Amino acid sequence: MKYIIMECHTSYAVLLDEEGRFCKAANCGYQVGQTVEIPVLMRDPGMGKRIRLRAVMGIAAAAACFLLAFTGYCRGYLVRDTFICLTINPSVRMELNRKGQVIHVAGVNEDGRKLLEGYRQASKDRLVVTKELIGRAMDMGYLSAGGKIVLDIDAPDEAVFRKYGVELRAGLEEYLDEVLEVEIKIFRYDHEAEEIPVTPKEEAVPPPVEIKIEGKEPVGLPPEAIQELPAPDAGTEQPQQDPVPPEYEGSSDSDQRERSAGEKAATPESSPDYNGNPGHEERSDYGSGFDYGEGSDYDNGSDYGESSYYNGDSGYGSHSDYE
Amino acid sequence: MNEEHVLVSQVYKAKEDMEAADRLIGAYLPFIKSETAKYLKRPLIEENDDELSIAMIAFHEAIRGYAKGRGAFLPFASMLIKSRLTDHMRREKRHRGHLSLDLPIGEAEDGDTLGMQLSAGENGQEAYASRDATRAEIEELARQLMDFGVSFTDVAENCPRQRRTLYACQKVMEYAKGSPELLEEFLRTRRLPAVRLSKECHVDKKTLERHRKYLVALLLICTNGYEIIRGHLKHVLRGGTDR
Repeated sequence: MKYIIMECHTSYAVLLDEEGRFCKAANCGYQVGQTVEIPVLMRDPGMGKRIRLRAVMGIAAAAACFLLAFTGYCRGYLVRDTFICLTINPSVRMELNRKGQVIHVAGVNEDGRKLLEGYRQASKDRLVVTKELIGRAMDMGYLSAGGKIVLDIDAPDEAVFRKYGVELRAGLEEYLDEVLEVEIKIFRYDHEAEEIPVTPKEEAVPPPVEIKIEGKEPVGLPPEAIQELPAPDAGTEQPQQDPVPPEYEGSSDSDQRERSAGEKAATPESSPDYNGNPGHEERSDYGSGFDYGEGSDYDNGSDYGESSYYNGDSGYGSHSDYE
Repeated sequence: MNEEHVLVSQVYKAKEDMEAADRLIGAYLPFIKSETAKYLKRPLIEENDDELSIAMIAFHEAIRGYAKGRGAFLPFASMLIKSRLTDHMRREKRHRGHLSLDLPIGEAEDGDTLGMQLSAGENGQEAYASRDATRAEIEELARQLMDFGVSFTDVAENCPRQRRTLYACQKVMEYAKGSPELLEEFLRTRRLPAVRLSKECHVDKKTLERHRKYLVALLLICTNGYEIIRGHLKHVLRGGTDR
Protein backbone atom coordinates (compact mmCIF):
# COMPACT_ATOMS: atom_id res chain seq x y z
CA MET A 1 0.00 0.00 0.00
CA LYS A 2 1.21 3.50 -0.83
CA TYR A 3 1.19 6.36 1.65
CA ILE A 4 1.42 10.11 1.01
CA ILE A 5 3.33 12.12 3.63
CA MET A 6 0.88 14.81 4.76
CA GLU A 7 2.72 16.40 7.66
CA CYS A 8 6.20 16.08 9.16
CA HIS A 9 7.25 16.58 12.78
CA THR A 10 10.52 15.90 14.58
CA SER A 11 9.42 12.58 15.99
CA TYR A 12 6.70 11.49 13.61
CA ALA A 13 4.97 12.08 10.28
CA VAL A 14 1.28 11.98 9.32
CA LEU A 15 0.55 9.73 6.36
CA LEU A 16 -2.52 9.15 4.21
CA ASP A 17 -3.00 5.62 2.90
CA GLU A 18 -5.01 4.54 -0.15
CA GLU A 19 -8.01 3.57 1.96
CA GLY A 20 -8.32 7.12 3.30
CA ARG A 21 -6.78 6.34 6.68
CA PHE A 22 -4.62 9.02 8.28
CA CYS A 23 -1.89 7.47 10.39
CA LYS A 24 1.26 8.42 12.22
CA ALA A 25 4.61 6.87 11.45
CA ALA A 26 8.30 7.29 12.20
CA ASN A 27 9.68 10.23 10.28
CA CYS A 28 12.58 8.63 8.46
CA GLY A 29 13.65 11.88 6.80
CA TYR A 30 10.38 12.21 4.89
CA GLN A 31 9.17 15.32 3.07
CA VAL A 32 5.58 16.48 2.59
CA GLY A 33 4.14 15.16 -0.67
CA GLN A 34 6.50 12.20 -0.81
CA THR A 35 5.04 8.76 -1.45
CA VAL A 36 6.31 5.85 0.65
CA GLU A 37 5.44 2.17 0.69
CA ILE A 38 6.74 0.60 3.90
CA PRO A 39 6.57 3.15 6.71
CA VAL A 40 7.14 2.29 10.37
CA LEU A 41 3.65 3.00 11.66
CA MET A 42 3.02 4.14 15.20
CA ARG A 43 1.26 1.53 17.28
CA ASP A 44 -1.91 2.38 19.09
CA PRO A 45 -1.08 1.99 22.81
CA GLY A 46 -4.55 0.72 23.65
CA MET A 47 -4.53 -1.85 20.86
CA GLY A 48 -2.39 -4.43 22.65
CA LYS A 49 -4.52 -4.06 25.75
CA ARG A 50 -7.70 -4.48 23.71
CA ILE A 51 -6.32 -7.54 21.95
CA ARG A 52 -5.23 -9.01 25.31
CA LEU A 53 -8.62 -8.22 26.83
CA ARG A 54 -10.37 -9.82 23.87
CA ALA A 55 -8.13 -12.87 24.09
CA VAL A 56 -8.75 -13.17 27.83
CA MET A 57 -12.48 -12.76 27.32
CA GLY A 58 -12.45 -15.33 24.55
CA ILE A 59 -10.54 -17.80 26.69
CA ALA A 60 -12.84 -17.13 29.64
CA ALA A 61 -15.91 -17.67 27.46
CA ALA A 62 -14.45 -20.89 26.05
CA ALA A 63 -13.60 -22.08 29.56
CA ALA A 64 -17.12 -21.28 30.76
CA CYS A 65 -18.62 -23.18 27.82
CA PHE A 66 -16.32 -26.12 28.49
CA LEU A 67 -17.24 -26.06 32.17
CA LEU A 68 -20.95 -25.99 31.36
CA ALA A 69 -20.59 -28.82 28.87
CA PHE A 70 -18.47 -30.82 31.32
CA THR A 71 -20.98 -30.24 34.13
CA GLY A 72 -23.74 -31.42 31.83
CA TYR A 73 -21.68 -34.45 30.89
CA CYS A 74 -20.96 -35.20 34.54
CA ARG A 75 -24.61 -34.89 35.45
CA GLY A 76 -25.64 -37.13 32.59
CA TYR A 77 -22.90 -39.72 32.62
CA LEU A 78 -20.87 -39.73 35.82
CA VAL A 79 -23.32 -38.98 38.62
CA ARG A 80 -25.03 -42.05 40.10
CA ASP A 81 -28.73 -41.69 39.65
CA THR A 82 -30.26 -45.13 40.09
CA PHE A 83 -29.22 -48.31 41.89
CA ILE A 84 -30.32 -51.81 41.01
CA CYS A 85 -29.74 -54.64 43.48
CA LEU A 86 -29.74 -58.05 41.89
CA THR A 87 -30.27 -60.77 44.47
CA ILE A 88 -30.16 -64.43 43.52
CA ASN A 89 -28.62 -65.02 46.39
CA PRO A 90 -25.31 -63.64 45.29
CA SER A 91 -26.24 -60.04 45.78
CA VAL A 92 -24.84 -57.49 43.40
CA ARG A 93 -25.40 -53.74 43.24
CA MET A 94 -25.38 -51.91 39.89
CA GLU A 95 -25.01 -48.15 39.81
CA LEU A 96 -26.66 -46.40 36.88
CA ASN A 97 -26.19 -42.86 35.61
CA ARG A 98 -28.92 -40.56 34.38
CA LYS A 99 -28.80 -42.11 30.95
CA GLY A 100 -29.47 -45.52 32.47
CA GLN A 101 -25.97 -46.80 31.76
CA VAL A 102 -24.25 -49.06 34.27
CA ILE A 103 -21.25 -47.15 35.61
CA HIS A 104 -20.26 -49.46 38.44
CA VAL A 105 -21.02 -52.99 39.65
CA ALA A 106 -20.14 -54.18 43.16
CA GLY A 107 -20.83 -57.29 45.18
CA VAL A 108 -22.98 -56.70 48.24
CA ASN A 109 -22.30 -60.00 50.00
CA GLU A 110 -19.54 -62.58 49.82
CA ASP A 111 -21.24 -64.55 47.04
CA GLY A 112 -21.84 -61.35 45.13
CA ARG A 113 -18.14 -60.55 45.31
CA LYS A 114 -17.31 -64.08 44.17
CA LEU A 115 -19.77 -63.71 41.28
CA LEU A 116 -17.97 -60.57 40.14
CA GLU A 117 -14.50 -62.07 40.39
CA GLY A 118 -12.96 -61.90 36.93
CA TYR A 119 -16.05 -60.27 35.49
CA ARG A 120 -15.34 -57.66 32.86
CA GLN A 121 -18.28 -55.48 32.03
CA ALA A 122 -18.61 -55.61 28.25
CA SER A 123 -21.47 -53.18 27.89
CA LYS A 124 -23.00 -50.29 29.78
CA ASP A 125 -26.53 -51.45 29.01
CA ARG A 126 -28.37 -52.36 32.20
CA LEU A 127 -30.23 -55.29 30.65
CA VAL A 128 -27.08 -56.74 29.10
CA VAL A 129 -25.19 -56.45 32.41
CA THR A 130 -28.07 -58.04 34.31
CA LYS A 131 -28.24 -60.91 31.80
CA GLU A 132 -24.48 -61.41 32.02
CA LEU A 133 -24.60 -61.55 35.81
CA ILE A 134 -27.50 -63.99 35.78
CA GLY A 135 -25.64 -66.09 33.21
CA ARG A 136 -22.58 -66.13 35.48
CA ALA A 137 -24.76 -67.06 38.45
CA MET A 138 -26.16 -70.00 36.46
CA ASP A 139 -22.67 -71.08 35.41
CA MET A 140 -21.39 -70.87 38.99
CA GLY A 141 -24.35 -72.85 40.28
CA TYR A 142 -26.01 -70.07 42.24
CA LEU A 143 -29.16 -70.16 40.14
CA SER A 144 -31.04 -73.27 39.13
CA ALA A 145 -34.57 -74.17 38.11
CA GLY A 146 -37.12 -73.00 40.62
CA GLY A 147 -34.82 -70.31 41.92
CA LYS A 148 -35.74 -66.72 42.44
CA ILE A 149 -34.32 -63.49 41.11
CA VAL A 150 -35.11 -60.34 43.02
CA LEU A 151 -34.38 -56.94 41.57
CA ASP A 152 -34.58 -53.95 43.88
CA ILE A 153 -34.62 -50.71 41.97
CA ASP A 154 -33.78 -47.55 43.85
CA ALA A 155 -34.95 -44.98 41.32
CA PRO A 156 -35.34 -41.22 41.85
CA ASP A 157 -38.92 -41.27 40.67
CA GLU A 158 -41.81 -43.50 39.82
CA ALA A 159 -41.50 -43.16 36.05
CA VAL A 160 -37.88 -44.32 36.03
CA PHE A 161 -38.71 -47.24 38.32
CA ARG A 162 -41.56 -48.29 36.03
CA LYS A 163 -39.46 -47.93 32.90
CA TYR A 164 -36.50 -49.92 34.19
CA GLY A 165 -38.69 -52.47 35.95
CA VAL A 166 -40.85 -53.23 32.91
CA GLU A 167 -37.84 -53.37 30.65
CA LEU A 168 -35.84 -55.66 32.95
CA ARG A 169 -38.77 -58.00 33.55
CA ALA A 170 -39.54 -58.30 29.85
CA GLY A 171 -35.87 -58.75 28.96
CA LEU A 172 -35.18 -61.33 31.64
CA GLU A 173 -38.35 -63.28 30.94
CA GLU A 174 -37.39 -63.49 27.32
CA TYR A 175 -33.80 -64.42 28.23
CA LEU A 176 -34.74 -67.10 30.75
CA ASP A 177 -37.79 -68.40 28.89
CA GLU A 178 -36.02 -71.31 27.23
CA VAL A 179 -33.16 -71.73 29.68
CA LEU A 180 -34.52 -71.88 33.17
CA GLU A 181 -37.80 -71.55 34.99
CA VAL A 182 -37.23 -69.03 37.73
CA GLU A 183 -39.30 -66.51 39.57
CA ILE A 184 -38.51 -62.87 38.90
CA LYS A 185 -39.52 -60.26 41.42
CA ILE A 186 -38.93 -56.57 41.01
CA PHE A 187 -39.39 -54.11 43.84
CA ARG A 188 -38.86 -50.48 44.41
CA TYR A 189 -36.12 -50.34 47.02
CA ASP A 190 -36.85 -48.68 50.35
CA HIS A 191 -40.25 -47.58 49.21
CA GLU A 192 -43.82 -48.51 49.90
CA ALA A 193 -44.69 -51.93 48.58
CA GLU A 194 -44.68 -51.79 44.85
CA GLU A 195 -43.95 -54.49 42.40
CA ILE A 196 -43.65 -54.53 38.66
CA PRO A 197 -46.34 -56.95 37.53
CA VAL A 198 -45.52 -59.97 35.45
CA THR A 199 -45.80 -59.26 31.75
CA PRO A 200 -49.29 -60.39 30.80
CA LYS A 201 -48.97 -63.16 28.26
CA GLU A 202 -52.42 -64.69 28.51
CA GLU A 203 -55.50 -64.22 30.62
CA ALA A 204 -54.17 -64.07 34.12
CA VAL A 205 -55.64 -66.75 36.36
CA PRO A 206 -55.67 -65.78 40.02
CA PRO A 207 -53.28 -67.98 41.93
CA PRO A 208 -54.80 -70.48 44.32
CA VAL A 209 -54.79 -69.48 47.93
CA GLU A 210 -52.69 -71.81 49.99
CA ILE A 211 -53.93 -72.91 53.31
CA LYS A 212 -51.15 -74.31 55.34
CA ILE A 213 -52.02 -76.82 57.94
CA GLU A 214 -49.29 -78.03 60.17
CA GLY A 215 -48.31 -81.58 59.47
CA LYS A 216 -50.11 -81.67 56.11
CA GLU A 217 -49.34 -80.57 52.62
CA PRO A 218 -50.72 -77.11 51.77
CA VAL A 219 -54.12 -77.30 50.20
CA GLY A 220 -54.60 -75.14 47.12
CA LEU A 221 -58.06 -73.73 46.59
CA PRO A 222 -59.05 -71.35 43.84
CA PRO A 223 -60.38 -68.03 45.21
CA GLU A 224 -63.85 -68.63 43.74
CA ALA A 225 -64.06 -71.87 45.59
CA ILE A 226 -63.07 -70.16 48.79
CA GLN A 227 -65.60 -67.41 48.26
CA GLU A 228 -68.23 -70.01 47.69
CA LEU A 229 -67.53 -71.61 50.98
CA PRO A 230 -70.54 -71.21 53.28
CA ALA A 231 -70.19 -69.07 56.33
CA PRO A 232 -69.61 -71.20 59.43
CA ASP A 233 -72.72 -69.91 61.16
CA ALA A 234 -75.10 -68.00 58.94
CA GLY A 235 -77.20 -66.88 61.88
CA THR A 236 -74.39 -65.53 64.02
CA GLU A 237 -72.78 -62.21 63.26
CA GLN A 238 -69.08 -62.09 62.53
CA PRO A 239 -67.27 -60.81 65.58
CA GLN A 240 -65.06 -57.73 65.40
CA GLN A 241 -61.69 -58.94 64.28
CA ASP A 242 -58.88 -58.13 66.58
CA PRO A 243 -55.44 -58.50 64.93
CA VAL A 244 -53.84 -59.70 68.11
CA PRO A 245 -55.88 -61.48 70.76
CA PRO A 246 -55.68 -59.76 74.11
CA GLU A 247 -54.00 -62.75 75.66
CA TYR A 248 -51.14 -62.50 73.09
CA GLU A 249 -50.37 -58.89 73.86
CA GLY A 250 -46.98 -58.47 75.40
CA SER A 251 -45.85 -61.95 74.42
CA SER A 252 -42.83 -62.57 72.23
CA ASP A 253 -42.97 -63.43 68.53
CA SER A 254 -41.90 -66.98 69.05
CA ASP A 255 -44.58 -67.47 71.66
CA GLN A 256 -47.19 -66.13 69.32
CA ARG A 257 -45.96 -68.37 66.55
CA GLU A 258 -46.17 -71.47 68.72
CA ARG A 259 -49.57 -70.62 70.10
CA SER A 260 -51.12 -69.77 66.76
CA ALA A 261 -49.62 -72.89 65.25
CA GLY A 262 -51.34 -74.87 67.94
CA GLU A 263 -54.62 -73.12 67.37
CA LYS A 264 -54.32 -73.63 63.64
CA ALA A 265 -53.84 -77.26 64.10
CA ALA A 266 -56.93 -77.32 66.24
CA THR A 267 -59.05 -75.37 63.74
CA PRO A 268 -58.49 -76.71 60.24
CA GLU A 269 -61.70 -75.09 58.95
CA SER A 270 -60.65 -71.62 59.83
CA SER A 271 -60.45 -70.67 56.16
CA PRO A 272 -63.57 -68.41 56.07
CA ASP A 273 -61.55 -65.75 57.82
CA TYR A 274 -59.26 -65.57 54.80
CA ASN A 275 -62.11 -64.89 52.44
CA GLY A 276 -61.72 -61.21 52.66
CA ASN A 277 -57.93 -61.37 52.27
CA PRO A 278 -57.02 -63.44 49.28
CA GLY A 279 -53.35 -63.53 48.32
CA HIS A 280 -51.49 -63.44 51.62
CA GLU A 281 -48.33 -64.30 49.86
CA GLU A 282 -48.43 -61.25 47.60
CA ARG A 283 -49.07 -58.95 50.49
CA SER A 284 -46.19 -60.37 52.41
CA ASP A 285 -43.97 -59.78 49.41
CA TYR A 286 -44.86 -56.14 49.25
CA GLY A 287 -43.77 -55.50 52.76
CA SER A 288 -40.24 -55.62 53.97
CA GLY A 289 -40.82 -59.21 55.02
CA PHE A 290 -39.83 -60.94 51.78
CA ASP A 291 -37.14 -63.50 52.04
CA TYR A 292 -33.89 -62.82 50.21
CA GLY A 293 -32.54 -66.16 51.27
CA GLU A 294 -30.50 -67.13 54.23
CA GLY A 295 -27.56 -65.01 55.01
CA SER A 296 -28.62 -62.32 52.56
CA ASP A 297 -27.89 -58.76 53.52
CA TYR A 298 -31.50 -57.99 53.00
CA ASP A 299 -32.64 -60.75 55.29
CA ASN A 300 -34.21 -59.04 58.23
CA GLY A 301 -35.05 -62.27 59.94
CA SER A 302 -38.59 -62.58 58.74
CA ASP A 303 -39.80 -65.58 56.87
CA TYR A 304 -42.48 -64.46 54.55
CA GLY A 305 -43.95 -67.90 54.09
CA GLU A 306 -44.86 -68.17 57.70
CA SER A 307 -45.08 -64.56 58.61
CA SER A 308 -48.17 -64.24 56.47
CA TYR A 309 -50.02 -66.07 59.17
CA TYR A 310 -49.02 -63.43 61.64
CA ASN A 311 -50.07 -60.64 59.44
CA GLY A 312 -52.22 -58.17 61.32
CA ASP A 313 -55.11 -58.74 58.93
CA SER A 314 -55.10 -62.46 59.12
CA GLY A 315 -58.03 -62.47 61.52
CA TYR A 316 -56.47 -64.86 63.90
CA GLY A 317 -58.38 -63.35 66.75
CA SER A 318 -61.60 -64.79 65.41
CA HIS A 319 -60.39 -68.35 65.53
CA SER A 320 -61.51 -68.81 69.04
CA ASP A 321 -65.07 -68.07 67.93
CA TYR A 322 -65.09 -71.11 65.71
CA GLU A 323 -63.68 -73.54 68.18
CA MET B 1 12.69 12.31 42.87
CA ASN B 2 11.36 15.77 42.08
CA GLU B 3 12.72 15.51 38.55
CA GLU B 4 10.85 12.26 38.08
CA HIS B 5 7.61 13.97 39.14
CA VAL B 6 8.23 16.79 36.70
CA LEU B 7 8.91 14.30 33.92
CA VAL B 8 5.74 12.34 34.72
CA SER B 9 3.65 15.52 34.63
CA GLN B 10 5.28 16.43 31.29
CA VAL B 11 4.50 12.98 29.96
CA TYR B 12 0.85 13.25 31.05
CA LYS B 13 0.62 16.64 29.35
CA ALA B 14 2.22 15.23 26.21
CA LYS B 15 -0.38 12.46 26.11
CA GLU B 16 -3.05 15.02 25.27
CA ASP B 17 -1.01 17.45 23.18
CA MET B 18 1.08 16.27 20.24
CA GLU B 19 3.05 19.50 20.18
CA ALA B 20 4.04 18.97 23.79
CA ALA B 21 4.99 15.39 22.92
CA ASP B 22 7.19 16.67 20.13
CA ARG B 23 8.83 19.14 22.50
CA LEU B 24 9.46 16.43 25.11
CA ILE B 25 11.03 14.22 22.46
CA GLY B 26 13.25 17.11 21.41
CA ALA B 27 14.30 17.58 25.03
CA TYR B 28 15.06 13.88 25.51
CA LEU B 29 16.70 13.36 22.12
CA PRO B 30 20.13 12.67 23.72
CA PHE B 31 18.56 9.90 25.81
CA ILE B 32 16.91 8.43 22.69
CA LYS B 33 20.18 8.59 20.75
CA SER B 34 22.06 7.00 23.62
CA GLU B 35 19.57 4.12 23.86
CA THR B 36 19.69 3.58 20.10
CA ALA B 37 23.49 3.63 20.05
CA LYS B 38 23.58 1.17 22.97
CA TYR B 39 21.29 -1.14 21.06
CA LEU B 40 23.19 -0.86 17.77
CA LYS B 41 26.56 -0.99 19.59
CA ARG B 42 27.89 1.76 17.35
CA PRO B 43 27.67 5.55 17.16
CA LEU B 44 24.71 6.94 15.21
CA ILE B 45 24.95 8.51 11.78
CA GLU B 46 21.97 10.78 12.23
CA GLU B 47 21.11 11.51 8.62
CA ASN B 48 21.11 7.92 7.45
CA ASP B 49 19.93 5.96 10.43
CA ASP B 50 16.29 4.95 10.28
CA GLU B 51 16.86 3.43 13.70
CA LEU B 52 16.85 6.88 15.31
CA SER B 53 13.46 7.66 13.73
CA ILE B 54 12.17 4.32 14.99
CA ALA B 55 13.54 5.03 18.46
CA MET B 56 11.78 8.41 18.41
CA ILE B 57 8.45 6.87 17.42
CA ALA B 58 8.98 4.30 20.17
CA PHE B 59 9.54 7.14 22.65
CA HIS B 60 6.31 8.66 21.35
CA GLU B 61 4.52 5.37 21.96
CA ALA B 62 6.03 5.28 25.44
CA ILE B 63 4.52 8.70 26.15
CA ARG B 64 1.09 7.55 24.97
CA GLY B 65 1.22 4.21 26.71
CA TYR B 66 2.77 5.28 30.02
CA ALA B 67 0.87 5.05 33.30
CA LYS B 68 2.15 5.83 36.80
CA GLY B 69 1.68 2.22 37.85
CA ARG B 70 4.29 1.11 35.32
CA GLY B 71 7.22 2.49 37.29
CA ALA B 72 9.64 5.22 36.25
CA PHE B 73 9.11 6.65 32.76
CA LEU B 74 12.65 6.48 31.38
CA PRO B 75 13.21 2.72 31.99
CA PHE B 76 9.78 2.13 30.45
CA ALA B 77 10.70 4.23 27.40
CA SER B 78 14.07 2.46 27.16
CA MET B 79 12.37 -0.94 27.16
CA LEU B 80 9.95 0.16 24.44
CA ILE B 81 12.76 1.59 22.29
CA LYS B 82 14.69 -1.66 22.53
CA SER B 83 11.70 -3.85 21.66
CA ARG B 84 10.77 -1.61 18.72
CA LEU B 85 14.30 -1.67 17.39
CA THR B 86 14.36 -5.48 17.75
CA ASP B 87 11.15 -5.69 15.69
CA HIS B 88 12.67 -3.41 13.06
CA MET B 89 15.85 -5.51 12.89
CA ARG B 90 13.85 -8.69 12.45
CA ARG B 91 11.90 -7.11 9.60
CA GLU B 92 15.05 -5.86 7.97
CA LYS B 93 16.60 -9.31 8.23
CA ARG B 94 14.05 -10.59 5.74
CA HIS B 95 15.28 -8.13 3.13
CA ARG B 96 18.95 -8.82 3.75
CA GLY B 97 20.77 -9.67 0.55
CA HIS B 98 18.52 -7.36 -1.50
CA LEU B 99 20.02 -4.33 -3.20
CA SER B 100 19.39 -0.95 -1.61
CA LEU B 101 18.27 1.98 -3.75
CA ASP B 102 20.60 4.17 -1.71
CA LEU B 103 23.71 2.25 -2.72
CA PRO B 104 26.11 4.30 -4.88
CA ILE B 105 26.48 2.95 -8.40
CA GLY B 106 30.10 3.89 -8.87
CA GLU B 107 33.05 3.79 -6.53
CA ALA B 108 32.82 7.49 -5.75
CA GLU B 109 30.76 8.14 -2.64
CA ASP B 110 29.15 11.29 -4.07
CA GLY B 111 28.08 9.56 -7.24
CA ASP B 112 24.52 8.68 -8.34
CA THR B 113 22.61 6.07 -6.43
CA LEU B 114 20.59 3.21 -7.90
CA GLY B 115 17.36 4.95 -6.91
CA MET B 116 18.37 8.10 -8.66
CA GLN B 117 19.23 6.17 -11.79
CA LEU B 118 15.89 4.38 -11.76
CA SER B 119 13.92 7.56 -11.19
CA ALA B 120 15.90 9.22 -13.95
CA GLY B 121 14.72 6.44 -16.23
CA GLU B 122 11.12 7.28 -15.28
CA ASN B 123 11.63 10.95 -16.04
CA GLY B 124 12.89 12.53 -12.82
CA GLN B 125 11.62 15.96 -13.77
CA GLU B 126 8.05 14.72 -13.88
CA ALA B 127 8.45 13.01 -10.50
CA TYR B 128 9.75 16.19 -8.91
CA ALA B 129 6.94 18.19 -10.50
CA SER B 130 4.40 15.71 -9.30
CA ARG B 131 5.81 15.86 -5.73
CA ASP B 132 5.70 19.65 -5.78
CA ALA B 133 2.12 19.62 -7.00
CA THR B 134 1.19 17.13 -4.30
CA ARG B 135 2.91 19.23 -1.65
CA ALA B 136 1.04 22.32 -2.87
CA GLU B 137 -2.27 20.46 -2.61
CA ILE B 138 -1.42 19.19 0.86
CA GLU B 139 -0.41 22.64 2.06
CA GLU B 140 -3.66 24.08 0.68
CA LEU B 141 -5.61 21.34 2.41
CA ALA B 142 -3.74 22.01 5.68
CA ARG B 143 -4.67 25.68 5.41
CA GLN B 144 -8.32 24.88 4.78
CA LEU B 145 -8.28 22.48 7.68
CA MET B 146 -6.86 25.16 9.94
CA ASP B 147 -9.92 27.27 9.07
CA PHE B 148 -11.93 24.48 10.63
CA GLY B 149 -9.53 24.41 13.60
CA VAL B 150 -8.18 21.01 12.63
CA SER B 151 -4.62 19.81 11.91
CA PHE B 152 -3.46 16.63 10.18
CA THR B 153 -2.33 15.32 13.54
CA ASP B 154 -5.87 15.87 14.87
CA VAL B 155 -7.24 14.06 11.83
CA ALA B 156 -4.86 11.15 12.42
CA GLU B 157 -5.93 11.04 16.07
CA ASN B 158 -9.59 11.11 15.05
CA CYS B 159 -9.27 8.53 12.26
CA PRO B 160 -11.46 5.44 12.78
CA ARG B 161 -9.61 2.34 14.01
CA GLN B 162 -12.30 -0.18 13.21
CA ARG B 163 -12.78 -1.21 9.62
CA ARG B 164 -16.57 -1.02 9.91
CA THR B 165 -16.42 2.62 11.00
CA LEU B 166 -13.91 3.38 8.28
CA TYR B 167 -16.30 1.98 5.68
CA ALA B 168 -19.12 4.08 7.11
CA CYS B 169 -16.98 7.21 6.71
CA GLN B 170 -16.01 6.17 3.18
CA LYS B 171 -19.70 5.82 2.38
CA VAL B 172 -20.22 9.41 3.52
CA MET B 173 -17.31 10.54 1.33
CA GLU B 174 -18.78 8.79 -1.69
CA TYR B 175 -22.13 10.43 -1.11
CA ALA B 176 -20.56 13.88 -0.59
CA LYS B 177 -18.64 13.55 -3.84
CA GLY B 178 -21.91 13.14 -5.74
CA SER B 179 -23.65 16.06 -3.93
CA PRO B 180 -21.98 19.39 -4.88
CA GLU B 181 -24.66 21.42 -3.11
CA LEU B 182 -23.90 19.61 0.16
CA LEU B 183 -20.20 20.42 -0.21
CA GLU B 184 -21.01 24.05 -0.98
CA GLU B 185 -23.15 24.29 2.11
CA PHE B 186 -20.40 22.62 4.12
CA LEU B 187 -17.79 25.13 2.94
CA ARG B 188 -20.16 28.06 3.48
CA THR B 189 -21.35 27.17 6.95
CA ARG B 190 -18.17 25.29 8.00
CA ARG B 191 -20.38 22.82 9.76
CA LEU B 192 -20.63 19.13 9.12
CA PRO B 193 -24.19 18.32 7.94
CA ALA B 194 -24.30 15.26 10.21
CA VAL B 195 -28.09 14.89 10.23
CA ARG B 196 -28.41 14.87 6.48
CA LEU B 197 -25.41 12.61 5.98
CA SER B 198 -26.70 10.22 8.61
CA LYS B 199 -30.11 10.11 6.92
CA GLU B 200 -28.83 9.78 3.37
CA CYS B 201 -25.98 7.36 4.05
CA HIS B 202 -27.76 5.30 6.73
CA VAL B 203 -24.89 5.84 9.13
CA ASP B 204 -25.41 6.44 12.83
CA LYS B 205 -25.24 10.16 13.65
CA LYS B 206 -23.11 9.42 16.71
CA THR B 207 -20.52 7.72 14.52
CA LEU B 208 -20.33 10.80 12.34
CA GLU B 209 -20.01 13.14 15.29
CA ARG B 210 -17.34 10.97 16.90
CA HIS B 211 -15.21 11.23 13.77
CA ARG B 212 -16.07 14.79 12.90
CA LYS B 213 -12.47 15.98 12.30
CA TYR B 214 -11.73 13.04 10.04
CA LEU B 215 -14.92 13.60 8.06
CA VAL B 216 -14.10 17.28 7.69
CA ALA B 217 -10.79 16.31 6.07
CA LEU B 218 -12.52 13.80 3.78
CA LEU B 219 -15.21 16.28 2.70
CA LEU B 220 -12.58 18.93 2.02
CA ILE B 221 -10.70 16.46 -0.16
CA CYS B 222 -13.95 15.97 -2.09
CA THR B 223 -14.17 19.69 -2.92
CA ASN B 224 -12.44 21.19 -5.94
CA GLY B 225 -8.68 21.44 -6.13
CA TYR B 226 -7.43 18.17 -4.66
CA GLU B 227 -7.11 16.04 -7.76
CA ILE B 228 -3.86 14.33 -6.74
CA ILE B 229 -5.11 13.37 -3.29
CA ARG B 230 -8.40 12.15 -4.75
CA GLY B 231 -6.34 10.16 -7.28
CA HIS B 232 -4.51 8.56 -4.34
CA LEU B 233 -7.91 7.65 -2.84
CA LYS B 234 -9.34 6.39 -6.14
CA HIS B 235 -10.06 2.94 -4.68
CA VAL B 236 -12.19 4.48 -1.98
CA LEU B 237 -14.03 6.87 -4.25
CA ARG B 238 -14.82 4.11 -6.72
CA GLY B 239 -16.11 1.98 -3.92
CA GLY B 240 -13.29 -0.43 -4.68
CA THR B 241 -12.62 -1.57 -1.13
CA ASP B 242 -14.36 -4.75 -0.02
CA ARG B 243 -17.06 -4.07 2.46
